[in-house]
Amino acid sequence: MPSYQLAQDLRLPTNALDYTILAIYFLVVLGVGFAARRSIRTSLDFFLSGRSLPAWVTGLAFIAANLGALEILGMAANGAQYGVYTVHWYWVGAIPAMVFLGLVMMPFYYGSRVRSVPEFLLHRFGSSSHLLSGVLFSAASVLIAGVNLYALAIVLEALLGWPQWVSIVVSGLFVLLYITLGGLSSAIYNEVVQFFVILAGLIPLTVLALVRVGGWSGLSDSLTASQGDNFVSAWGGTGIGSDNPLGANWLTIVLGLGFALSFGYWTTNFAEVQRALSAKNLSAAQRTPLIAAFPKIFIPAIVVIPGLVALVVAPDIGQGDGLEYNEAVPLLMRDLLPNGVLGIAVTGLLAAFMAGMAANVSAFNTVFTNDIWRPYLVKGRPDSYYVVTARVVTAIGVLLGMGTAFIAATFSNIMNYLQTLFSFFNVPLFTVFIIGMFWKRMTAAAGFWGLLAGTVAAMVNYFWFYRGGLLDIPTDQGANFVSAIVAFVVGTLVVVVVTPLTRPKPVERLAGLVYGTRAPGVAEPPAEGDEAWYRRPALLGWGAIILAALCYLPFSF
Amino acid sequence: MTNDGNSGNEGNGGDGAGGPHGAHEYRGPSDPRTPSGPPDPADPADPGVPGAGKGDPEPDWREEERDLEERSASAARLFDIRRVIGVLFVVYGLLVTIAGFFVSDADLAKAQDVNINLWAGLSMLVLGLLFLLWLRLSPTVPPPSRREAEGGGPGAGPPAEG
Repeated sequence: MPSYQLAQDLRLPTNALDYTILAIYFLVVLGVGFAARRSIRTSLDFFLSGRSLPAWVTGLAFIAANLGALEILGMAANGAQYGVYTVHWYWVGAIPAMVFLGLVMMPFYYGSRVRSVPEFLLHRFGSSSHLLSGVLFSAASVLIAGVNLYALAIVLEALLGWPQWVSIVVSGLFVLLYITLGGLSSAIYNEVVQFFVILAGLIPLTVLALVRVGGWSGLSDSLTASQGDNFVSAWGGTGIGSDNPLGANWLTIVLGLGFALSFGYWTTNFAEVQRALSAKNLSAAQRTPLIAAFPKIFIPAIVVIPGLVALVVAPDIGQGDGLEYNEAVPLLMRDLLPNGVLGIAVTGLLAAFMAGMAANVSAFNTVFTNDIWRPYLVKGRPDSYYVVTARVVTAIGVLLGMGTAFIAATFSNIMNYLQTLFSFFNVPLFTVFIIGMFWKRMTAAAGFWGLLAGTVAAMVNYFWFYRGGLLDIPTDQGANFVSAIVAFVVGTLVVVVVTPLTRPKPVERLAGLVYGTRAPGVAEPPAEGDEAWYRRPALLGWGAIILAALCYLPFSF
Repeated sequence: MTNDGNSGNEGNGGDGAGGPHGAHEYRGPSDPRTPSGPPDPADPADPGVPGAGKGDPEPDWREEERDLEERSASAARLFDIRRVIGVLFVVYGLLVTIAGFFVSDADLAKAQDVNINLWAGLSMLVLGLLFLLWLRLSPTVPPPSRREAEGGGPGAGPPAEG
């Protein structure tokens, strides 16, 4: 992690204008929280915005929740470390899963009127898998919120000279305040604002970065000269058995990243799915991840390109003594941005951090209150009691997040840490979900044991086989992909073996939860205007997939 | 809370692109219009046979959710985020554009001879104005009162914006 010396090196020449821009942003964030407060009347308002938001709002919040500071710094780091391979995290590792969520899974999620992903497990599989996933998710959310805080603290220490504890306490308290006040509405509205501020910071940076190295052709030429041809191609050198910087072949990329890891993350991570559940009707809920898919396709342009440029500007980045990969974006901010745009970029980074952390915190308070506290600890209180509980839980969650902020310090590439966690928790969850949604016979016991076995298998593979040296995988990322595949395969096997040995749930209790069944009373007529061609989920979804595939073309030959 | 009881209709397009979706969007065959009444046991929307599933603590969760959707205040009382984005970006745009007018040679050299403040500032200004224009062209639809919704029915909302 950056030493004191390094922190001095990256110090940004911020002035009063930059701090004015930052201060305005903080005022807006709090103002949104206070203004959203008056819309909270029931627990549904607090947890899911009363299921009332339009699709463009939930869609942009969906993408902003993913566009945390970790994502930006981590993906720019991956760009500098692995080159153009990083686009796999977007085009194969996100778009198909987002489209699948919108087109295939959302009717079950939204149609069944559950408040959270674990609650779907409760109705489909019963309380043991419900409790397991609720507890795992809560723990993971607090950890990830801590990672976010830590990342922010080291960045602000380097860029602005703020001591780490100041950044952690101040930023944590802002998130705590605006979510406690306005619940999910406040989180989502702020995420939409954050999305635009992040873009306003990153786009000028990318433009200047490209000018600096002579445009894309200049960038591509310098990288080819210094790193070889494969560095600027998406698939070059990914044949099985051949060597590449990513340490993964095309099969582990497609199956591990594109299928197991990405479907696990995008379709079952409640921090994402919650945004769609707050949409005002099923059509809007389906369109939430699909609307988010289009910006997601183009985000590598403003995240990966700065990473690549950083490698040209500072060829010794990530080589031990000098800068770390995670500092690619801050490096360019220091070297290229004048005051003004610099303030926007700093604000954008802070906004990105807040978006990522707020998504985790708002998902955490929902799951903890609805899936742990209310069904198992304190049942049957009036609705308003659980709104108060959620506010207290939010405060506790943020404080715990501050405490865990330093766990992240042991990994040099923060993204690896995050991916590792996701492969442990989300992949088995996705496995159980997808089988349970399409196989009526699948039993509650199979759900529970599949979830547990998949999670344990991924951990054993990662910590014992890979870290223990029994398995020869060149990089952490490659090991993550393999762990995700292991989790999926083991989870599936356990489900298939346990199901015939145990009693299934009666079919009439599965209405609306399994493919081919319909919950009575949830059919809704399409809202006026939703028949418009540009609002048709299938068209949006397939359009996004085709566009992502086309994006591969310039980088594949 | 001293709420007028007219804010219950989930799904009316409070803010944003979908503005027109009106209050006529009801969930079930039996439209539960008592905002805070108890779940109706005779409601055909009731999904299950209570008590049929032993591992399922809340057999009628859908009923409760629909009831809460009726009582929800979000659609009625949540402000329109387009106004916040619009104003914020107009302010940012003005600040950064002005910085662009007074650009120093050092700043220009740093930014590869691009007056980035001017360009970024003008772009943000345009973005902010576009949001305010959108809000003007397709304003927030105030949620109709329950009586209105019952009387008006489908088609009472404004025409869909293109």
